[in-house]
Amino acid sequence: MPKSSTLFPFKKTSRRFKSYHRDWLESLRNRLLPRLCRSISAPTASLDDLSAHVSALLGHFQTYYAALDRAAASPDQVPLLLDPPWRGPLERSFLFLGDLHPYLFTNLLRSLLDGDGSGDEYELGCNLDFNKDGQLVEKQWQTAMAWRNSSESLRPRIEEIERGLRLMLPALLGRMRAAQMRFVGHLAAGWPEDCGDEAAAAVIGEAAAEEMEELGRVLRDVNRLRHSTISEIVGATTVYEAALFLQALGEFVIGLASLD
Amino acid sequence: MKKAQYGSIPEQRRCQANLINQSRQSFSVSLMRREEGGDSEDSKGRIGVDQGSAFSGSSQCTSFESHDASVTRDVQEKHFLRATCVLEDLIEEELDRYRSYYTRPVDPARHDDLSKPLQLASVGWLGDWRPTAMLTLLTGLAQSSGSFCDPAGIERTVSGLVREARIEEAVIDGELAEIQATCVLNPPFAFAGNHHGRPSPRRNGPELQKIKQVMAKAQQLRFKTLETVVRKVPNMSDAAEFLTVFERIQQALHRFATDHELRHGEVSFSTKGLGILDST
Repeated sequence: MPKSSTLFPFKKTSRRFKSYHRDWLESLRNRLLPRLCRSISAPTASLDDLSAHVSALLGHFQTYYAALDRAAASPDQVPLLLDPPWRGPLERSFLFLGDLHPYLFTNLLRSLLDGDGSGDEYELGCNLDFNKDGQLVEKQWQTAMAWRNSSESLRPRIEEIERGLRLMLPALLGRMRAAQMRFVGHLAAGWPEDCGDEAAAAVIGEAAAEEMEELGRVLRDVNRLRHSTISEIVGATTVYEAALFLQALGEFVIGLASLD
Repeated sequence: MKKAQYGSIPEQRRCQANLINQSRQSFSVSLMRREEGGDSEDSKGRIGVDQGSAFSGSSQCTSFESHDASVTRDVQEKHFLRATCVLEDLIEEELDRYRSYYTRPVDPARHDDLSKPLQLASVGWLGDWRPTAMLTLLTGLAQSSGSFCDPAGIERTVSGLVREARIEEAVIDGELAEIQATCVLNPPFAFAGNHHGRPSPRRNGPELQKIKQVMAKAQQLRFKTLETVVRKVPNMSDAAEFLTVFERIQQALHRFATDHELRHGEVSFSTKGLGILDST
């Protein structure tokens, strides 16, 4: 089978990740997030609307991780994906294996649940509107009370997700480290005594090809963790909770991208 | 990865690297001659360097000529000692160079890092060589290359250091992961007005300070590991040999990574079935 790396750049159905990431961020900032925020705060927006915007935002994240996975299928692209130059150096220092740390999602959810997520930033109770009969609009009330009335099964579910991460993450880091050690081992074993440039490049090339295959698998595995953690959180929460979670996550992603 | 080593290597540095190499080469020549001459002196643990080539290219080089059968043992000893001092000085200079690089202030916002993505992916850890990768490289070289005098001594030295370095790496990994996983609680940026406003970075915020501290710790561990192994390896010429090969490997890796970046400087992916519009 031909390698995907040789096919992707020339296929019409391929796309540069840099421009995709820029458009993805723009779409989040200017389209999806404002719509979700309006739907959360506007008294007139229906529950169906909110649900549709939650799905759209979740889909936006899922598509992003699917795109990352596809890019990581080509070993030659793995070095750039691990340290993506389309994200600034300050932003990159907060990234774990090329993107958000999987624990960040559960930590964000916990902070919302515990009510200490940046003070009043996520507090919506003060903005409650009443309809003309003086009754609180149901959806708004639900949103404002989302974390106070959260289901009792949510905390055990977060713990379960975190247990999974605790098992998987050290293994992924271990695999990365082991791949680097094998690379260095190959280099040492085949290092040419005469120090010829071509011979050296051949040794490095062979060792690097094997290493990047493995690092690509590690990258896809950690993407799956990110992808599944977000999906599991949205699956375990009510639509109101999911809306607030995705709103906070979207804002964080936009804020982080503005660092540089 | 060490900036000073790539692009324009100062001529002086190149000479020094060559000199270490010459010292190493002449070391083996000297050994051979002594063996041929029936010299029974134990070669292990001693730096016997043929002074003629060891001093060539050095400003200290004076009028030493090649060995002569009539050279007395005393003179030979004197030359060996002088060459040992030269080798010691060169190792110290190399270490000083690494020290000044690895202890410079760390700024995550800097763009002038010349290390390439493939270098970072292949041996990198927090921006430069993974300390345990340096150690594994030395063990591997000692086992496979004939240029090291005391592979067993190297292995003994490294095995203890690897355990320590691995623990320290894990501790720093944990500290970094903690920052990366909790930065969402105290974001390194603030939204102007309310959280729908434009975010502005907090460049001197605590999260960025923590990142800088962790990176500085990683730099210290890198240098400490390199310095310790170079000083602890039983045979000084093995230390010099390692520094020489390490330098060459770094340069070759940088060249390879630069070439790789030229060929694979863009990342693409298939949009088929993802519902993503084509690039504009």
